[in-house]
Amino acid sequence: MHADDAALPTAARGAARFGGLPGGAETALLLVALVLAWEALARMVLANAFALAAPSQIALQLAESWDLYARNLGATLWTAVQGFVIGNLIAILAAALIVTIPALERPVFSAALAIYALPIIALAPILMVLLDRDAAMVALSALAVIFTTLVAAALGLRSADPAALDMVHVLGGSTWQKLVRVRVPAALPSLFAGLRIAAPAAVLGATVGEFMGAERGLGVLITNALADLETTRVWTVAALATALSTGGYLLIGWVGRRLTPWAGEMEIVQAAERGGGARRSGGQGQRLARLAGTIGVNLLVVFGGWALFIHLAGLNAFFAKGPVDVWQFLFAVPDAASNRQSVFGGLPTTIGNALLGFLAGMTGGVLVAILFVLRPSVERAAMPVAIALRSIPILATTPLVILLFGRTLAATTMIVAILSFFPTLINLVVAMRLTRRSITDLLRVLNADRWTILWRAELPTALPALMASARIAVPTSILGAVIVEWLITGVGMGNAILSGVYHAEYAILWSVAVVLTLLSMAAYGLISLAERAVLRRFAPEHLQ
Amino acid sequence: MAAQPDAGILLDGVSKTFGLRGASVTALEKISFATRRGSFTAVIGPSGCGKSTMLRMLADLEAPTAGRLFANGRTPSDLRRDGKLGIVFQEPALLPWLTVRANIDLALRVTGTRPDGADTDALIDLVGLDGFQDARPAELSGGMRQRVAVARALVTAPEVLLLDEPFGALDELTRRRLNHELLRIWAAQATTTMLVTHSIEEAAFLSDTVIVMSPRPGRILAEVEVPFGRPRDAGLLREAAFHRFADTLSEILAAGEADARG
Ligand SMILES: Nc1ncnc2c1ncn2[C@@H]1O[C@H](COP(=O)(O)OP(=O)(O)OP(=O)(O)O)[C@@H](O)[C@H]1O
Ligand SMILES: [Mg+2]
Repeated sequence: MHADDAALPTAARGAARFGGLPGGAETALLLVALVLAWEALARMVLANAFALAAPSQIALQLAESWDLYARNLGATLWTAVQGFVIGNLIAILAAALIVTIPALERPVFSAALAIYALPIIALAPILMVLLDRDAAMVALSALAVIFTTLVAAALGLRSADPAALDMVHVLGGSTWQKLVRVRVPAALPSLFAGLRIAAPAAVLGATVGEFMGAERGLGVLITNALADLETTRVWTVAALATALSTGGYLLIGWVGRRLTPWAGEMEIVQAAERGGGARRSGGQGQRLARLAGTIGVNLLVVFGGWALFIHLAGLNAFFAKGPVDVWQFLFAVPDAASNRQSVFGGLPTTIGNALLGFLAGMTGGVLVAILFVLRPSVERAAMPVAIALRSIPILATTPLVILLFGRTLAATTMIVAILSFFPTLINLVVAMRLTRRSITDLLRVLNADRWTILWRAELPTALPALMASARIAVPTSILGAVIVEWLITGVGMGNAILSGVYHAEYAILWSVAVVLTLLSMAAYGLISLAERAVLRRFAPEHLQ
Repeated sequence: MAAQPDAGILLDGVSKTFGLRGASVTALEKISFATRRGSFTAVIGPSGCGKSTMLRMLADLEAPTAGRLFANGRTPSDLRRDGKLGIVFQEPALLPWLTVRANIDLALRVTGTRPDGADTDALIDLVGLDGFQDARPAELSGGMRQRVAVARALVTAPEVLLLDEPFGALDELTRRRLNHELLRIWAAQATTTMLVTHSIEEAAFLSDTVIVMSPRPGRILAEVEVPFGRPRDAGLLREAAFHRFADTLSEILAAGEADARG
């Protein structure tokens, strides 16, 4: 099928090639070439720069100190697995709840979005003192997976074919039968898409906790190695972290494909990112009213949930600050002005870092996606690699980029950009491939050139996927920027977290957490609005 | 009147209005007609005149805005709860994760019958899908999927069978063959059947009564008794009387369209 499918962006072609784990001769060749180039670069060009370790050195390092690495890998894996299970259970139950009781949709969705927007890096030091250390790391890992799984599961539960439900209804089937025979199986592909993204997210959550100080784990190893400038060890841990994230991602993907062989490629790849709460059409006035309502519910959920958490948990008042404490800290106490400076001073820097990385990642994703679609041979070889790298953890990219490029703005931008680059790339390629065959055929019959087909048919088809990717990438970009600031550059909101921890000033940490949460939610909301405008024009069938 | 032993489908002053973003669309207006139990009724009419809506009300999927409906002397919801309805939609509505056989057996499971492999196999054979028992819907053509949907509607031996352009996606030959099989099964089971179709020929060949509807809002233009005896075979399609009858139906339809315009 290699010769004639070059210009056919059809689901069938994609499904055939996408069916298994990364494979195929082209991909194998590309991987071998990459490893050889890496080895040569490390041995010859950058041999004395202490920046890059060769694959052979990593292998040697692993062989020499296997016990050390295995112990720490095991610790991270165990935390991530617990977080994965707990977080996803909560998310699936919440999804079932909002599908059964639609009135709960808004508040539950807001809470999940707030959790997604929570900067776990600012939350980590707080949870570390409030909970048992291990429990805190599991909690961080669980929090990192809730939102995407909730969205995917809810979308899945709603995706049942209405005609199939009607058919069971006409045959006298009960609500229970509709659930078991139609809704649940129909939800599986989408659910697995969510679980697949959740695997690397759980690893991220676990390692953020380890950064903050744990006894064991990959996060601990890499912080130590970076402090000692042990290049080979940094690269070895990065390789293990990547293997862990990617392995989880591929494993869940494989299980999903085995369990849902009927699922289309679209569902598997991006269902988790397509949904985003209720999307309804309506007049301008209705839309404004709904917007105001959404903002109100979100604020209520964030502040109400926060106050309730502090109140119910009965926590130590020195560590646990409620909305009132934070308000006083920022606006009432004599030092309020200087407190505001410590909290908000770094905000512009963080916004700048996040925005730059976000834009770079999205632009890169779009450009490479276009390249892939125009050059199917490149796509064939590189797509599986891109899918594997989709879940490359920030734990791995941060030290590597810093070793290679120093503590520069470019390095920060690159680290943040990588977070959105791969998901955007993959979503776009898949979406463009699914362009209606009849439309591309029609254009071809009209003798349209390749660019016209891209511009008139494939890119507009992929626009909803682009918007969905952007929406999901925004909170990730903000989190990524803060992690880099905290871990490496010591500026922006990352610096505020450092000083909060250093001075044991927990009000700073709570303030930073709430400011970043609101910022992420606002950015998410803005992109949702833009997305809706785009969908109204290009894909009204996605609006309810 | 609903208790008569030979009552088939009965619509009594049925209207249906849809509310669409403030505006309202009247799909059907004061429809009344009655058929006999075990009879075969065809409904023809221009697109959008409410044929599917009428069928969906008989299937208890939609409630009428006004009026009452009965089938075999019982309300649609009664029949449905007892698993006595069979339906084929315009779209096949197969479950993509089930094989052909499992999709057909699903109807039995839902109505609380243990699937009997032999019956299902006979039906699969009947709709010409022998050898595809274990295929998934994605591996079938559009027409093959529709045939699975037909088999699924028949497998429960329903008392009332509702067909919404079930053979619209099929080629002429397959369509005719399935029409013959449908007649055979219908004659054997005495199922009260209502078929929505765009094919005048199909309506005339299969049914006892043809109901001709006007453009939206759908009203009944005529209830025409089909004057041909049974059993019918392919020879009927070539008879001059058959063509004259089909022409009559066409004329009624055309007159309705002209009325609606002017
Ligand atoms: N769920 C619905 N909501 C709003 N309007 C509807 C709905 N279902 C049908 N309608 C409207 O009712 C009218 C009749 O629709 P229906 O599907 O019954 O037509 P039909 O006769 O089956 O047409 P066709 O031959 O094209 O299948 C149409 O004008 C349609 O717009
Ligand atoms: Mg219809």
